[in-house]
Amino acid sequence: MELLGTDVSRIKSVLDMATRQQELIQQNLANVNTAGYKSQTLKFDEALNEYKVVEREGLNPRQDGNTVVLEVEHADARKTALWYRLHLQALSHEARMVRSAISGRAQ
Amino acid sequence: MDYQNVFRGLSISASGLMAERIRMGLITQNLAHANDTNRGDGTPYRRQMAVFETILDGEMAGGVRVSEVVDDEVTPLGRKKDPANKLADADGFVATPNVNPTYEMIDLMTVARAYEANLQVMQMSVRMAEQALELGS
Repeated sequence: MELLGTDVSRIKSVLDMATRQQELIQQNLANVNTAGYKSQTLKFDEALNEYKVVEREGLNPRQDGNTVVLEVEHADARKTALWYRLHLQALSHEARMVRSAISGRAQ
Repeated sequence: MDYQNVFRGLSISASGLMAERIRMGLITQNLAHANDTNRGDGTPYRRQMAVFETILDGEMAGGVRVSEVVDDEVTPLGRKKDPANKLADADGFVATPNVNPTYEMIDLMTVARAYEANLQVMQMSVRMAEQALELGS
Protein backbone atom coordinates (compact mmCIF):
# COMPACT_ATOMS: atom_id res chain seq x y z
CA MET A 1 0.00 0.00 0.00
CA GLU A 2 1.27 3.43 -0.85
CA LEU A 3 0.59 6.66 1.02
CA LEU A 4 2.05 9.91 -0.30
CA GLY A 5 4.73 8.01 -2.18
CA THR A 6 5.92 5.93 0.78
CA ASP A 7 5.54 2.19 0.69
CA VAL A 8 3.78 1.52 4.00
CA SER A 9 3.93 -2.26 3.58
CA ARG A 10 7.72 -1.94 3.63
CA ILE A 11 7.57 -0.31 7.04
CA LYS A 12 5.21 -3.05 8.16
CA SER A 13 7.64 -5.76 7.06
CA VAL A 14 10.45 -4.08 9.01
CA LEU A 15 8.21 -3.94 12.10
CA ASP A 16 7.39 -7.63 11.66
CA MET A 17 11.06 -8.46 11.28
CA ALA A 18 11.96 -6.51 14.43
CA THR A 19 9.23 -8.31 16.38
CA ARG A 20 10.56 -11.70 15.26
CA GLN A 21 14.11 -10.70 16.10
CA GLN A 22 12.99 -9.58 19.56
CA GLU A 23 11.31 -12.95 20.05
CA LEU A 24 14.52 -14.75 19.11
CA ILE A 25 16.45 -12.67 21.65
CA GLN A 26 13.88 -13.54 24.27
CA GLN A 27 14.25 -17.19 23.31
CA ASN A 28 18.05 -16.91 23.59
CA LEU A 29 17.86 -15.32 27.02
CA ALA A 30 15.31 -17.86 28.22
CA ASN A 31 17.80 -20.55 27.19
CA VAL A 32 20.92 -18.94 28.66
CA ASN A 33 21.30 -21.94 30.99
CA THR A 34 20.21 -24.68 28.57
CA ALA A 35 23.15 -26.99 27.86
CA GLY A 36 24.09 -27.12 24.17
CA TYR A 37 21.74 -24.30 23.12
CA LYS A 38 23.03 -22.16 20.23
CA SER A 39 22.15 -18.46 20.12
CA GLN A 40 19.89 -17.61 17.16
CA THR A 41 19.34 -14.50 15.12
CA LEU A 42 17.67 -13.35 11.89
CA LYS A 43 19.81 -13.02 8.80
CA PHE A 44 18.86 -11.73 5.39
CA ASP A 45 19.10 -14.43 2.74
CA GLU A 46 19.99 -12.81 -0.60
CA ALA A 47 18.95 -15.85 -2.65
CA LEU A 48 15.54 -16.26 -1.03
CA ASN A 49 15.09 -12.49 -0.56
CA GLU A 50 13.80 -12.97 2.97
CA TYR A 51 14.98 -13.17 6.57
CA LYS A 52 15.97 -16.57 7.90
CA VAL A 53 16.69 -17.85 11.41
CA VAL A 54 20.38 -18.74 11.70
CA GLU A 55 22.81 -19.49 14.50
CA ARG A 56 24.79 -16.48 15.65
CA GLU A 57 28.35 -16.63 14.37
CA GLY A 58 31.69 -15.88 15.97
CA LEU A 59 30.77 -16.88 19.52
CA ASN A 60 32.84 -19.24 21.62
CA PRO A 61 30.69 -21.91 23.21
CA ARG A 62 30.87 -22.30 26.97
CA GLN A 63 31.86 -25.59 28.56
CA ASP A 64 28.26 -26.83 28.30
CA GLY A 65 28.11 -25.97 24.55
CA ASN A 66 25.86 -22.92 25.06
CA THR A 67 26.71 -19.83 22.97
CA VAL A 68 24.39 -17.24 24.56
CA VAL A 69 26.27 -14.14 25.74
CA LEU A 70 24.15 -11.79 27.84
CA GLU A 71 25.92 -8.65 26.62
CA VAL A 72 25.52 -9.53 22.93
CA GLU A 73 21.82 -10.31 23.39
CA HIS A 74 21.21 -7.17 25.39
CA ALA A 75 22.91 -4.94 22.81
CA ASP A 76 20.91 -6.62 20.06
CA ALA A 77 17.66 -6.20 21.99
CA ARG A 78 18.37 -2.49 22.40
CA LYS A 79 19.19 -2.15 18.72
CA THR A 80 16.04 -3.96 17.67
CA ALA A 81 13.86 -1.86 19.99
CA LEU A 82 15.32 1.36 18.58
CA TRP A 83 14.93 0.09 15.02
CA TYR A 84 11.31 -0.74 15.77
CA ARG A 85 10.68 2.69 17.26
CA LEU A 86 12.31 4.45 14.32
CA HIS A 87 9.95 2.77 11.88
CA LEU A 88 6.94 3.37 14.08
CA GLN A 89 7.85 7.06 14.06
CA ALA A 90 8.09 7.01 10.27
CA LEU A 91 4.68 5.39 10.07
CA SER A 92 3.14 7.86 12.48
CA HIS A 93 4.67 10.71 10.50
CA GLU A 94 3.11 9.32 7.31
CA ALA A 95 -0.27 9.07 9.00
CA ARG A 96 -0.02 12.65 10.23
CA MET A 97 0.76 13.91 6.74
CA VAL A 98 -2.16 12.00 5.25
CA ARG A 99 -4.50 13.36 7.93
CA SER A 100 -3.29 16.85 7.20
CA ALA A 101 -3.81 16.35 3.47
CA ILE A 102 -7.35 15.12 4.07
CA SER A 103 -8.34 17.86 6.47
CA GLY A 104 -6.52 20.55 4.53
CA ARG A 105 -4.74 22.03 7.54
CA ALA A 106 -1.56 21.36 9.43
CA GLN A 107 -1.93 18.80 12.23
CA MET B 1 1.82 -6.55 13.43
CA ASP B 2 0.04 -9.66 14.58
CA TYR B 3 -1.11 -8.91 18.13
CA GLN B 4 -0.44 -12.54 19.10
CA ASN B 5 3.27 -11.80 18.70
CA VAL B 6 3.30 -9.62 21.79
CA PHE B 7 1.94 -12.43 23.91
CA ARG B 8 4.29 -15.00 22.44
CA GLY B 9 7.26 -12.80 23.31
CA LEU B 10 5.93 -12.43 26.83
CA SER B 11 5.38 -16.15 27.29
CA ILE B 12 8.91 -16.92 26.05
CA SER B 13 10.43 -14.63 28.67
CA ALA B 14 7.97 -15.87 31.30
CA SER B 15 9.10 -19.45 30.64
CA GLY B 16 12.69 -18.32 31.21
CA LEU B 17 11.74 -16.66 34.49
CA MET B 18 9.86 -19.76 35.60
CA ALA B 19 12.71 -22.14 34.75
CA GLU B 20 15.23 -19.97 36.63
CA ARG B 21 12.92 -19.85 39.63
CA ILE B 22 12.75 -23.65 39.69
CA ARG B 23 16.55 -23.75 39.58
CA MET B 24 16.72 -21.31 42.45
CA GLY B 25 14.34 -23.55 44.43
CA LEU B 26 16.70 -26.49 43.87
CA ILE B 27 19.69 -24.44 45.05
CA THR B 28 17.96 -23.51 48.30
CA GLN B 29 16.93 -27.14 48.73
CA ASN B 30 20.54 -28.25 48.18
CA LEU B 31 21.78 -25.79 50.78
CA ALA B 32 19.08 -26.86 53.24
CA HIS B 33 20.17 -30.49 52.81
CA ALA B 34 23.91 -29.75 52.91
CA ASN B 35 24.30 -31.84 56.08
CA ASP B 36 21.58 -34.40 55.45
CA THR B 37 23.36 -37.76 55.74
CA ASN B 38 20.21 -39.85 55.34
CA ARG B 39 17.62 -39.27 52.66
CA GLY B 40 15.51 -42.17 53.95
CA ASP B 41 17.34 -45.14 52.46
CA GLY B 42 20.54 -44.81 54.53
CA THR B 43 22.42 -42.89 51.80
CA PRO B 44 23.24 -39.20 52.02
CA TYR B 45 21.33 -36.49 50.15
CA ARG B 46 22.57 -35.90 46.62
CA ARG B 47 22.73 -32.50 45.00
CA GLN B 48 19.71 -31.87 42.73
CA MET B 49 20.16 -30.32 39.31
CA ALA B 50 17.60 -28.98 36.82
CA VAL B 51 17.93 -30.00 33.18
CA PHE B 52 16.78 -27.23 30.84
CA GLU B 53 15.19 -27.95 27.48
CA THR B 54 14.36 -25.58 24.62
CA ILE B 55 10.71 -25.45 23.57
CA LEU B 56 9.99 -25.00 19.87
CA ASP B 57 6.50 -24.07 18.77
CA GLY B 58 6.82 -25.47 15.27
CA GLU B 59 9.21 -23.06 13.53
CA MET B 60 8.74 -20.39 16.16
CA ALA B 61 10.56 -19.87 19.41
CA GLY B 62 8.67 -21.22 22.41
CA GLY B 63 10.97 -20.58 25.36
CA VAL B 64 12.42 -23.05 27.82
CA ARG B 65 11.29 -25.60 30.39
CA VAL B 66 12.81 -27.77 33.08
CA SER B 67 12.55 -31.21 31.48
CA GLU B 68 13.72 -33.12 34.55
CA VAL B 69 15.41 -32.82 37.90
CA VAL B 70 18.34 -35.21 38.29
CA ASP B 71 20.64 -36.26 41.12
CA ASP B 72 24.25 -35.13 40.76
CA GLU B 73 26.02 -38.50 40.43
CA VAL B 74 29.30 -36.97 39.20
CA THR B 75 30.44 -34.91 42.19
CA PRO B 76 31.80 -37.36 44.79
CA LEU B 77 30.23 -37.65 48.21
CA GLY B 78 32.13 -36.38 51.23
CA ARG B 79 33.15 -38.23 54.40
CA LYS B 80 33.20 -37.09 57.95
CA LYS B 81 34.05 -38.64 61.29
CA ASP B 82 30.86 -39.12 63.27
CA PRO B 83 31.03 -42.34 65.33
CA ALA B 84 27.79 -41.51 67.16
CA ASN B 85 25.82 -41.67 63.90
CA LYS B 86 24.17 -45.06 63.47
CA LEU B 87 25.05 -44.96 59.75
CA ALA B 88 28.77 -44.78 60.56
CA ASP B 89 31.01 -47.51 59.10
CA ALA B 90 33.51 -49.61 61.09
CA ASP B 91 36.00 -46.72 61.20
CA GLY B 92 33.36 -44.27 62.42
CA PHE B 93 32.99 -42.38 59.12
CA VAL B 94 29.71 -41.26 57.59
CA ALA B 95 29.17 -40.35 53.92
CA THR B 96 28.05 -36.73 53.57
CA PRO B 97 26.10 -35.03 50.73
CA ASN B 98 27.98 -33.79 47.66
CA VAL B 99 26.70 -30.27 48.22
CA ASN B 100 29.35 -27.55 48.12
CA PRO B 101 27.92 -24.25 49.40
CA THR B 102 30.41 -22.27 47.29
CA TYR B 103 29.21 -23.89 44.06
CA GLU B 104 25.61 -23.37 45.08
CA MET B 105 26.23 -19.66 45.66
CA ILE B 106 27.89 -19.34 42.25
CA ASP B 107 24.91 -21.09 40.67
CA LEU B 108 22.65 -18.70 42.54
CA MET B 109 24.51 -15.77 40.98
CA THR B 110 24.00 -17.13 37.45
CA VAL B 111 20.32 -17.64 38.24
CA ALA B 112 19.99 -14.05 39.41
CA ARG B 113 21.73 -12.72 36.31
CA ALA B 114 19.64 -14.84 33.94
CA TYR B 115 16.44 -13.86 35.75
CA GLU B 116 17.30 -10.19 35.45
CA ALA B 117 18.16 -10.51 31.75
CA ASN B 118 14.84 -12.23 31.03
CA LEU B 119 12.91 -9.60 32.96
CA GLN B 120 14.63 -6.75 31.15
CA VAL B 121 14.02 -8.09 27.66
CA MET B 122 10.42 -8.79 28.66
CA GLN B 123 9.96 -5.17 29.67
CA MET B 124 11.57 -4.09 26.41
CA SER B 125 9.09 -6.08 24.34
CA VAL B 126 6.20 -4.65 26.36
CA ARG B 127 7.51 -1.15 25.68
CA MET B 128 7.65 -1.92 21.95
CA ALA B 129 4.01 -3.02 22.04
CA GLU B 130 3.04 0.09 23.98
CA GLN B 131 4.72 2.30 21.40
CA ALA B 132 2.73 0.57 18.68
CA LEU B 133 -0.45 1.20 20.68
CA GLU B 134 0.35 4.91 20.88
CA LEU B 135 0.26 5.05 17.10
CA GLY B 136 -2.68 7.04 15.85
CA SER B 137 -3.45 8.60 19.22
